[in-house]
Amino acid sequence: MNRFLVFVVGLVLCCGTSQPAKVSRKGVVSLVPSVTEIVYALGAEDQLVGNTTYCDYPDAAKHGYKVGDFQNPDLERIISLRPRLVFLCLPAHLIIADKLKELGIAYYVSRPGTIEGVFSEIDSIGKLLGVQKRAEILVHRLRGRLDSLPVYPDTPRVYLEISDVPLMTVGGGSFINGIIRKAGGYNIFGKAASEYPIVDPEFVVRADPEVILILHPGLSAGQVGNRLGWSQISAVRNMRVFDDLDMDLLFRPGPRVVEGIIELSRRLHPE
Amino acid sequence: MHRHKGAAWAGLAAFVLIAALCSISIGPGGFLHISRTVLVFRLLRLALGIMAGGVLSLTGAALQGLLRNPLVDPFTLGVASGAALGASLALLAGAGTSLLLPVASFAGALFTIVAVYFLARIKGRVTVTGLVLAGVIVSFLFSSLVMLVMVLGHRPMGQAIYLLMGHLGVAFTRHSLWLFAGSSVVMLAGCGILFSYSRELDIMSSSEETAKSLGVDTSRVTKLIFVVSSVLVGLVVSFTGAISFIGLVVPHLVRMMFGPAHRQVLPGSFVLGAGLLLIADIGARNVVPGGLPLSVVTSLVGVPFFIYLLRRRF
Repeated sequence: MNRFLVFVVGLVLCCGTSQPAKVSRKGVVSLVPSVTEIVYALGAEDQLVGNTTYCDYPDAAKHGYKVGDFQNPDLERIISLRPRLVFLCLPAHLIIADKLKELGIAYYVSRPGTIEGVFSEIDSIGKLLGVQKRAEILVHRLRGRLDSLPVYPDTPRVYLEISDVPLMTVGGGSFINGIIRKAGGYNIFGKAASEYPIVDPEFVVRADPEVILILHPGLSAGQVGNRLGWSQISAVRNMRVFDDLDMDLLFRPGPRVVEGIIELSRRLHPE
Repeated sequence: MHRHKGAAWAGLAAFVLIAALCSISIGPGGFLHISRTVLVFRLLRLALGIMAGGVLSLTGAALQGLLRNPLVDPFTLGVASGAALGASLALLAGAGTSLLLPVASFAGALFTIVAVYFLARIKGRVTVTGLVLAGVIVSFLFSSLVMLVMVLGHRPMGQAIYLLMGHLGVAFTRHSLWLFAGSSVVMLAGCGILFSYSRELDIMSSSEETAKSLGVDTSRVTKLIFVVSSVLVGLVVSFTGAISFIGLVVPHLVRMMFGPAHRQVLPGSFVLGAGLLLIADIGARNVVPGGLPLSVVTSLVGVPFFIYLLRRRF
């Protein structure tokens, strides 16, 4: 019995001492892929002790310590890292945020709804990580690249599809709607109330988009013309249906969004 | 009594006709301004709405009779969620408009109806509450699984919501139109089969013992109606997602009009369900810019009715 007790106590001690290897009181954890991108762009990745399986850019982020996926980060893993700050976004991380509050761990809610919001987010994260100067330089550089875009006189009508069963697009309240506008396009669903409205195919044909962007893996550009009644749409007739845009560049409110805007504006204004 | 039923049928027919005309003339393309292209879209949507509303309601009526339970329908039994789970798995596998989609949702529906039936069977008896409880549990589980599948597949959350709450936003290609035409033939045949069991359903809806003493092979009829219902619900869900309440409410309304005989209740449910879904769809796509899931509209009408049923019967 005594020997057993010693064994148990030993086991507990072992577990107890094996833990602190990874402990870093200075580290931050990012549950948001776009924030992870910002941290790397600021060259502050040495402070990043944990991220999620969704954080796949830059390549180095893939090899970071994973606390779970974007939807279901593991609270125990986060706590075991003893971070000084956790980056999260709402409403996806509502429960985690509550638990962190209970435990007294600081967190920062990332919620850039616009392109301007991404810039101020970079500034805020720069301040939090103590690399304010680098953040200023990064924002200045990104702004410069955006400002170099010409002001286009015409704005082609754009239909952007994010799902085909059912047909879904992006509405006026979405982040990507601002990107379409900045790239010199007019979202035919820009007036829709919801962020990701369902689409009546009749409406698309009637709005006659000049460019169609397919941003889901289910469909190729060539198949769009096979839809009944869609062959008369300007975009289909003029072969301006694109399925090869990088979704992460457009959907992630991180530093690469500027690249996404420039890439998109090339498709909308090839001349 | 005969004249009364004739009038009810005429009323139903008129209602569906008006619903169809409204559905064709109202849309985002404008009111009554119908070009040839717009007409094609509206006719396809009309066909989809009629099949979905009709089939779900008729299936609901048959299941209510078979299980002697006024609270079951394809949605409360969890069958629609099971079909949606099958569909979401097929969608992730890349089956946008292929045959795999309806087959997968049929498999999901059949698995669910059998699972719910056995979950509800305690000591050889299936009780009203047991069945509804099992259905609700399975429905919750499968709805969560649909969400999980879509999230893990990096699909937008909205897609899962529309799969679980119904829509008529289908972009038909020549290929998927053939698939829909073929499915419609199968669905009509399935409805015909259920209709041909009207007499058995009448007898079984009184009590299983009576049915057995009258020479009805209850276990065979149960199995057959389960399989046919799963085919019907699976096919509908693979096109429109899971639409709630229509299959629950419509049979009750029809019974108020025609009495309990399935020879009237089944076709009546098909017709009334088709008309009501068309009206619900007009609301779903025209009230809010960007549209609403169909179940939002059907539930707004269905829930008060469901409460009324609960308070009156139990």
